[in-house]
Amino acid sequence: MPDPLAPPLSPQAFQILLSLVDGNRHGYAILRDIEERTDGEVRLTASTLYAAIKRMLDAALIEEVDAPEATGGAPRRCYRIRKAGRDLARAEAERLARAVNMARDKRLLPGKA
Amino acid sequence: MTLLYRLALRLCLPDVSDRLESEAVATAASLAREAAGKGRLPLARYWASEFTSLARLGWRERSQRKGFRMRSMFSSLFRDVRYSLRLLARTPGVTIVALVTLALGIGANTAIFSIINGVLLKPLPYPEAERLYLVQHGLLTNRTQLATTTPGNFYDIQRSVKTMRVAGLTSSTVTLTGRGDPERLQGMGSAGSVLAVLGVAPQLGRIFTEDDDRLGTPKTVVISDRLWRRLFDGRPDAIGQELMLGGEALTVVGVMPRGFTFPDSETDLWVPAHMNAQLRASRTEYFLTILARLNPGVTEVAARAELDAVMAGLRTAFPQANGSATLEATRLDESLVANISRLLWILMGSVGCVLLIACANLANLLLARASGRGQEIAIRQAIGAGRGRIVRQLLAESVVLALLGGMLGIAVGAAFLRALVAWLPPGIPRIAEATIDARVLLATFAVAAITGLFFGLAPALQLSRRAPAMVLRDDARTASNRSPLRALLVAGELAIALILLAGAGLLIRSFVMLQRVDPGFATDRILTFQVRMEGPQYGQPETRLNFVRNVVDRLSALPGVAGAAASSTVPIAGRGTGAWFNMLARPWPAGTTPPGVPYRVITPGYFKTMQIPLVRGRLLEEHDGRGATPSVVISESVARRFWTTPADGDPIGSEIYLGAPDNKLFERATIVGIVKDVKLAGLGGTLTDAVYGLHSLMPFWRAFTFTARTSGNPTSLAADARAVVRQVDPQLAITGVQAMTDIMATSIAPTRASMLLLVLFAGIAMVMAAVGVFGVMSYSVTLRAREMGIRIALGAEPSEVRRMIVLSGLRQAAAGVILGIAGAIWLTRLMDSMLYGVKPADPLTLASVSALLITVALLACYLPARRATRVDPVSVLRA
Repeated sequence: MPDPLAPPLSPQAFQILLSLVDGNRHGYAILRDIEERTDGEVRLTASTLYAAIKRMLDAALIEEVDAPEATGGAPRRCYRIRKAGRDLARAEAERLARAVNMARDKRLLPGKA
Repeated sequence: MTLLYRLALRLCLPDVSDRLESEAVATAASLAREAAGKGRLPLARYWASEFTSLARLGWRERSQRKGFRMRSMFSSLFRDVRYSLRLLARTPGVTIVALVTLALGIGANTAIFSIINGVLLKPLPYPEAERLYLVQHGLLTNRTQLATTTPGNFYDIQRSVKTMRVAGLTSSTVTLTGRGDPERLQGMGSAGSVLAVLGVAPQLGRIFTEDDDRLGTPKTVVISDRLWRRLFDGRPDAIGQELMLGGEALTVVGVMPRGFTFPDSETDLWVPAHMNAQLRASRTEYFLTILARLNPGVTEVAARAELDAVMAGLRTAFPQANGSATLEATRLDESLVANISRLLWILMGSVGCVLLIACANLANLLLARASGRGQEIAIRQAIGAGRGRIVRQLLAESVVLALLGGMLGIAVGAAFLRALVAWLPPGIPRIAEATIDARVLLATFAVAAITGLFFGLAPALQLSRRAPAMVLRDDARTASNRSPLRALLVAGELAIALILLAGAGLLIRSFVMLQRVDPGFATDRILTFQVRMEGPQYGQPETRLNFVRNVVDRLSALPGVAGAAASSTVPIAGRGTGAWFNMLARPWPAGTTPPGVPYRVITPGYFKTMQIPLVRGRLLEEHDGRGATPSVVISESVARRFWTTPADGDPIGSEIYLGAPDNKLFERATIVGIVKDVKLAGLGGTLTDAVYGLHSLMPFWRAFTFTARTSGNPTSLAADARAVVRQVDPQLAITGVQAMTDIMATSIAPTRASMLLLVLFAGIAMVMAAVGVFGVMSYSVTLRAREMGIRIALGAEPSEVRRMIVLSGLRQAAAGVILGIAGAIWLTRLMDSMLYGVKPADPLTLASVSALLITVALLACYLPARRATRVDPVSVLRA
């Protein structure tokens, strides 16, 4: 069983980290963000999300922060990406980018080489 | 749904739920709300995907860590158990109280469940016992009123049915002679072959078959293992030997295996009925019950349909005998226990309630003890024990306690079972099969484990819910000062206790009513015993008449006997034989079945001996049996039943006959007197119809109960009575020597037994509930000692403080009583058939048990309250 938190990351884990790159979000907001960005292509259940969050917290990729008072809604904890998480997401993005470039070299995809 | 999700999350992903449970649940709830906005189908789809992903994740997690987890699970379980045992040993007082409570509670349940298991649940010991049925007559108007059938009907049914194999049963006690003193043996006569239908192979020889029941075949008998060992010392050459039974030589053809019983363990021999041609054709003598085994592949529905068709034919062919009759099939196992199953389930429910109350008390006890352990638990939490871990530890403690209690409970249960079996009234079918077997053991441990979870859950949840910092800052005295959980437990206990008390109260009232019943005759100082005239010499009516007259005369001449008589059946003992009642002046319409009335064959001294008062006319005299004007006497209820209007005339002077036109018990007789009603079948029964005729009028009668009114203790005359019978005929056996009062006691024994058991259980429940109230009140008083001290220091009257405490306890008690009354009204309906002279929701009973329980609760509150006001305010405030 490969470590789910080492590259290559599962699409779900990558998307969760990606959601947290531009700001702290709580669980529900992460799910909404992922769904919108991927046009519903990547869809997570609460269970998958929190199982992943638990692993990321344990691996110190993200940390819990108190939600700003204004959010008011039910989930009270927000998650902030830590340096390790940001590095991991970047590493995964670069791996994906390299893969895309290879596809372009083979003219599988249009675009500049 | 979110609750379910929370549970599933805990189950599948315990690590996640330890830390992120509320977040995950809240998020799932938001997603669900969103999906619900789009409709039901998306909502269902959402939950489906949520639970599947949860299951997948849980499975992956588990399989990854399996090796590690199993080890750690067992080692932590072991640690929990060891720690629990140490804790229990550290507080021996609490532990002993808890163990005794549990052992009694679980033991009582084990005992009653053993009986239910043996009597109701175990299959009957015959091959494919579920295919065995009893077939009896019902009425077109009331198919549940079951009755025996006639030989004529039986042999027609046996010839017609294709879906089943049938045998007609009749119990027959016979006298065994030629082997020491004559003795009566319980036997079963069978038209067809009961043993072939049951399908049990003999251990020796053969069983009799339908062929052995044919006219003109040699008479055979199959005996029980017990009788075989007693008479033949278990020798195989018993087969082929002859036994003198009822004055006839019967050849032993088979021995049934050890442990075989049918219909009960008292029956020692099975014989073909060997009825003569006339009896075989009778449509008016009802004494056979049909045992049927469905043929392979036949369904119950098909069998019933065939019985209905056969009966329709019998109704048309014999309208007078069968016009209103049906055939009803009941499963053998169900009909054997029909009378007892309700009582047993009620007892099971009662001991279950006692265990519930015990649980509530233990929960309270553990709550109180656990409050003292708040600090310990807070420290464990503070240094990183998860809530799940704490709950598990606390539950392990209570389950260990309960399992220990369960082990003791099995010992208590075994003792209790032995006592119950010995003490319950005889006649409960299959009671001998009530043993503590694997199923009972399993059930006991399951109950113990569930009990442990039940009384451990409340304290565990309550303790682990508190924030550790709060607990560490405060001390036990202010923590959880007022617990709604405790109030709930107390109210629940009282409610259950009230339901049991109401049930016990109803049975007590029934019992009292039964004892106040006027049986219609003087019951004290009467000795009774039975003799059946068997043997070729009693084929002559004169011999029979002489024997009875002789015995009665010699009994009357005994010193200390004021009067003696004989009758076919004594009052209370049962319905006895009945016959169609026909009035010569007003014959019944042709083609209808005449009403049946029980009749009694008596000697002239019967009314005087039993002291049955004459209402009108005159009693029977020696000459009333034969001669020009044979006479009979009827009971008041018969007079009321058949002479309803003045147009019907006067019963006295009317002529009647009993039986069918072609099968009369006597040609005709004039009614010369009306006597007071006596209870025929049990003190609680309503049956009082009876026609009394002399033995000389109905000389065919062979089996008599002799009665002697004595001046002293009736049973002291038993030996003299035996001697009298021996003098008259040494070949006849005498049975059932007992006082009339013993017959009465037997008739109310089931009510008495169920009353005593329920009173016992209700009493235990009440004491336990009182202990529960007392415990909770004293605990809360201890917690509030400081408050009391301040109140008294500030000038509150002790009596006021006392009243405050008592009132707060009474509020809980009142809630419990109201709940209990509602429950009692709802549940006592189940007891309707067990009650006599009192309705299930009897206001007087409910009011008195409520008052009793409130008084007990008051007392349980008052004692702690009094203690509270005796505290020295200064010492409390300084502490």
